[in-house]
Amino acid sequence: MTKSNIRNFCIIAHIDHGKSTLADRLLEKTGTIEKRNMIKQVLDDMDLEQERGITIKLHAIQMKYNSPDGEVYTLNLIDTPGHVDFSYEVSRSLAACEGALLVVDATQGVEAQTISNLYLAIDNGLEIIPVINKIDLQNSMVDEVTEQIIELIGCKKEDILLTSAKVGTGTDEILESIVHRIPAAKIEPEKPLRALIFDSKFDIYRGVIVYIRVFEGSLKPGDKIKSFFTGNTFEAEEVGHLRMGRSKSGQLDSGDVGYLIAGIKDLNESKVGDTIYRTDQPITEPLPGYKDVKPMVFSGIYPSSTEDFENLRDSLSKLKLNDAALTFEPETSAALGFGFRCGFLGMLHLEIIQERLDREYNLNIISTVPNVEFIVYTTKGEKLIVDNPSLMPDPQKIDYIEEPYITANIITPTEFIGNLMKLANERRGVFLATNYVDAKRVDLHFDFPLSEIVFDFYDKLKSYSRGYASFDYDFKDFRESKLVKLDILLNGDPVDALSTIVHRDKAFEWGKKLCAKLRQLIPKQMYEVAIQATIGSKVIARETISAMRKNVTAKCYGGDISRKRKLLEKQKEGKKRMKQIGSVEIPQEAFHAVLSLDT
Amino acid sequence: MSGLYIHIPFCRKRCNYCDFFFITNTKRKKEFLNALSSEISLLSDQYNGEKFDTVFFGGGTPTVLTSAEISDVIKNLEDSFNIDINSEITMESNPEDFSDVSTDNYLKAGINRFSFGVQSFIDSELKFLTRQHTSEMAEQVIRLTSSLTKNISVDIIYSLPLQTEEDINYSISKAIDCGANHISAYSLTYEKGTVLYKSAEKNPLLKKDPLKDSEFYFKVSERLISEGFEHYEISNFARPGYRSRHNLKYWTYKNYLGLGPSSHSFFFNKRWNNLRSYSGYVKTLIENRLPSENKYKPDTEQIKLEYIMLGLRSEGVNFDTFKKLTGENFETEYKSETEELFSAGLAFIKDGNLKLTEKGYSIADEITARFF
Ligand SMILES: Nc1nc2c(ncn2[C@@H]2O[C@H](COP(=O)(O)OP(=O)(O)O)[C@@H](O)[C@H]2O)c(=O)[nH]1
Ligand code: SF4
Ligand SMILES: [Mg+2]
Repeated sequence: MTKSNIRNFCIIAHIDHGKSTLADRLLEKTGTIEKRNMIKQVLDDMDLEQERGITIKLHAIQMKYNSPDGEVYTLNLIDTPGHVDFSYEVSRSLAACEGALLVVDATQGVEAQTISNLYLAIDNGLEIIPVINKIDLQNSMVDEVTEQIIELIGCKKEDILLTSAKVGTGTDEILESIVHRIPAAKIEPEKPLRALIFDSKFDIYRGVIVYIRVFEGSLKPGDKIKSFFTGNTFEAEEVGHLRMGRSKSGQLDSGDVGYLIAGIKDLNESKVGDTIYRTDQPITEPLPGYKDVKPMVFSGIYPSSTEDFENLRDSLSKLKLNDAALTFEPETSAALGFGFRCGFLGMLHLEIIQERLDREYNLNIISTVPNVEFIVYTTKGEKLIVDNPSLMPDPQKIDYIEEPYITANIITPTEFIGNLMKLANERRGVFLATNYVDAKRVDLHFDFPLSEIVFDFYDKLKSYSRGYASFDYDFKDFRESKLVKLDILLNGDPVDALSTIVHRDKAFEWGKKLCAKLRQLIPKQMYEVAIQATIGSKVIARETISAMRKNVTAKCYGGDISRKRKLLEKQKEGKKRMKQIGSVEIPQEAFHAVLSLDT
Repeated sequence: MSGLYIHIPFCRKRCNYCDFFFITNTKRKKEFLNALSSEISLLSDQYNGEKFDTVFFGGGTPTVLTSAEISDVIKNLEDSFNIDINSEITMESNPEDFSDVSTDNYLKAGINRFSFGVQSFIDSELKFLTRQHTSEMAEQVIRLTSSLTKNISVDIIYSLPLQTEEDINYSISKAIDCGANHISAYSLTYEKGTVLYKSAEKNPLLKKDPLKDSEFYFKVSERLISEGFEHYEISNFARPGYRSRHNLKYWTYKNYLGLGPSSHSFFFNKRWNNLRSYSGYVKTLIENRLPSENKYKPDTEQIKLEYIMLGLRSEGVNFDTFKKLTGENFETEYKSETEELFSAGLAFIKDGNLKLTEKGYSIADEITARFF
């Protein structure tokens, strides 16, 4: 084992604390890109990412750094996604590194993602370099934030670097700290190849491009390789490093971060977290930490007009090419026709997919209210996985139901503890512990049913804390809950797409609010429409939409029939945005009514 | 048999809610009447095989023309077209144009049905609508006309801002009392570009109240039906024997030929309109050409919709007529739609017609859209 000049690191931060901006400074300073060629924040290259200011896909980039100590170092910066929906991907990126810059905004202090990312980094044994950013701002609280960081990671004051990524202050110290504080990548060329897949993406010309960290051994074109967990074998076609683009090289060695192209057709043949090895050098142990990511949130996605079904399938397939976590299966709904039950890592993931279908594929879709997955144990002793509320078996056939729980950290200024306890209580939170981050901030630790945080929890959290609290979570386990299926009937006909699974104690209120909301959203029809919420055969809430009173143009246009016809054709055009269910026309927003319930 | 429509494109002043086509320079009457003569002579050959049994002078304000001028036009029409001797010959009439002898003179000229643009018998309402006459003038003229002919229609507008139920009942009672056997009751509409439309944009008090509008709609129908009128079209009510035969041509998919600027025609399976420009109309005829434009032949789909739309608004969709027009069987084609209407009490079938009920009439547009 020899020491190398390679440093593999990442930047972790709560959203908007300056991760991307700092990365830009490092790239600039090391001459990896020229300042004038730089579009703001090069690491986020999807439109949507730039717009939302979040990083969705991981990327890595190599820099050459000439240190004042006379050595030239190779720095591999591995970018990590910024949202909890993608925490497994974050953890795999972290696993590819030896160290992490922990960036904290000097005006905001430690927040929920700071802590959750920090824990992930510590779990992966990384050296942490704390960095306080945005010190140029007038309202920065360097002393306070320094205290918080010391409290959090138990470092010394001198260990904390101060920077303004925007202005460029402190970049040199950061680079020096990277090479001198982060352990050098271990070089073990004599061992059999073990390389970690920390990301992958699909390229229409080359197939899947996998991003790997080579821990041991080496890899060159022509090598026969195998993924440990998926068991697929490939032949390496091309390997190389990641500069501003791909930079082909003869070989990737122990310690390197780079890419691999191997005729892989599908992201699922080489999953993130898997270990690549050479078939001529069998290994007994994979690299640790592999997990098969599973969707947590489900929603039915239907084309607004039935002709678009095949289009929707194609578009989902295309999106899936670059998104291993997205799942979809055809399903039918009595109300909405043919569509797909799609699975997502979380709500943000779901929103991104919906938005991309709309923007990039120009599809007009209706999506049902998102739900989590339930494990249903029947009286016959079967175990069923139910990811669509309308497929929930009849109550008398159910022994009990389990639902997913997450474990969450809420970081908040102490003055909002009371409010947030109340919120947690409303959302069936199980209180676990409080840890004081410093005198003014506290980390509240709860378990929650996932279903309770799917809808508007984040917004509620913000409004209960005047925007100050932040929140992060991780899947924990399945637990038994008293859940019931709430159905919505319109004029006596159940609308499957509006069924939801709710906790028994909340069903009444929920039903009442949902009926009231639907009454607002469904326009008056030719005749009275009864909206009912039912559990089994029991009606628990009811509203009526009175019949339309008048809809006729009284004016006589003489013999101008064309004008009259055109007016009606226009009216009909407006109706196209409605779904006809039984005899009732429902606007698309109604299928999302639950999301806007004020609970 | 077919209908003839003559558009008289003059009004003395524009009412604030009106978007009909006309000009206010009545000095150009002679010029217009010359152009109309040319149009008549250009058309007469083409239509010499057709029989007409209704003539309708609309506007604008046809009573801007004197009885002598009307008489000339009617003579000209009778010379140029095959007009049945029992024809209904209607003239839209503005009360302010009438003197003691006008009705008699117009009758002599050949008019046999008067349609009075009264709108209201309450002076403050007339003022709001910027009409030129007073309620007293209207009452006198209609009573006098009624002593000479029973074929009288009165237009009433309801849903005016601040109008009460008593107000609208008063106007209706008055119209009946004066001798109207036909009443057209329109809900006030705010047409883009009109003065009223602009005022309503600035003053929310002038906006239409949809709740009140639908209430009044039903009140007006109830009132007229209880007085022995039949509700035979969305906005039209008549005592037995007094329906507007001319307007029924439009609603029952019969042929009609329109003359004068902006008039519409439906003949030989085609629809078209005349230029909606006074000078364009005159100029084209001086050049001895017909002032028509936008001529097209509705396709089967359009015919279907038009016929259903018109039928539902008036005497019903006749299954035989539907079959003749489209080759399709209405009852099988629209089985689910019609059943839905029956079960909701919005329509019924009588003598091979699908007809809307009172409730159905009030949402006829919504119902029609269901058939699209
Ligand atoms: N004033 C100031 N603004 C900064 C600094 N670093 C980042 N920002 C701004 O903070 C916002 C979030 O930065 P970004 O790098 O996208 O954060 P990320 O979400 O952690 O990647 C952007 O508007 C940046 O311009 C800094 O040092 N000073
Ligand atoms: S009289 Fe009739 S056509 Fe003339 S402006 Fe008034 S409403 Fe319009
Ligand atoms: Mg960023």
